[in-house]
Amino acid sequence: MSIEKDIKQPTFKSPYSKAIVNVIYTNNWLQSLQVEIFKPFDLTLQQYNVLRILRGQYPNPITVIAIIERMLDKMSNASRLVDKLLAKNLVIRRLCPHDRRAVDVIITDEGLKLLEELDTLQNQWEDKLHGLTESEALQLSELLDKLRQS
Amino acid sequence: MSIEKDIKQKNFKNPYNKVTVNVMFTTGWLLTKNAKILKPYNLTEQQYNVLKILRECYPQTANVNFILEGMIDKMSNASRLVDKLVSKGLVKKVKSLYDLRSVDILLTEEGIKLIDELITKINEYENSFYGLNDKEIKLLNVLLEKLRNKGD
Repeated sequence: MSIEKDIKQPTFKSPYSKAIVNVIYTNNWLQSLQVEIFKPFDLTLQQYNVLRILRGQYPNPITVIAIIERMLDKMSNASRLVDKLLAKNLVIRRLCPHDRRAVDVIITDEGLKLLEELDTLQNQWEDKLHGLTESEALQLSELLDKLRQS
Repeated sequence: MSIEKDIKQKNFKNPYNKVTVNVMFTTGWLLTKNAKILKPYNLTEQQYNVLKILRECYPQTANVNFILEGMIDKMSNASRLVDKLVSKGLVKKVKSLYDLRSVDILLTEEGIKLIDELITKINEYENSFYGLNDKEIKLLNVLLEKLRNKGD
């Protein structure tokens, strides 16, 4: 559906302002699809993002600062997210041997197992994005990169 | 900067995964920029969105459902947002002309002044930071809509 119909706004001031609304609306659309997947697992999108980052480093640990650098949502409170995951036994925390002021985080076996389960669901979810061909998806990604080149 | 550098991830599983991540990251980037403008006014992005919708229908009033239909974030709690704006003196509740049992929302004079000021500021700034030309912006819009086509 066109963004005009989606948010019932017949005209936009400029293609730029339309693009901004379109990016944000598409993001919300993607997130609402994902929320449905995560709900039964009692996991938020941000917690999932942290788990994915930890799996990318596994079996090596990673500091909270390095997690923030890799997060999609730079506004998230990474140490709070780690606390939440700790309480669910999906990650463990220990002092960093190289820097005693820093804390290392590692994903647990339980965390890895949960991610595997979610991978399958994520793949099914991705089918919903096939309104775009693969090359269009790459083109869109390039345009977004260019948009951010301020 | 490329999305790979922005989030320090060298490879993506496939183009779909990459574009999803990119949409999410770009949204965060846009919202952070907007938040910087809105912060001195003590307004959130969603509150700004409500004010903008009311500005467009002014001097007509709008009910909460109409506001929600126009919102970018469909998960927002529009009546809570309206209450917040009422407490800030930016909007007021009035009786609906068509249905006396229901309530409509209208901008106050203060609200109009504020939203007009903000719209000007955000416009200036929206047009200033884009690395895309008009043609590319149009293509971006087309591709985003196409992306949402199949899942809707």
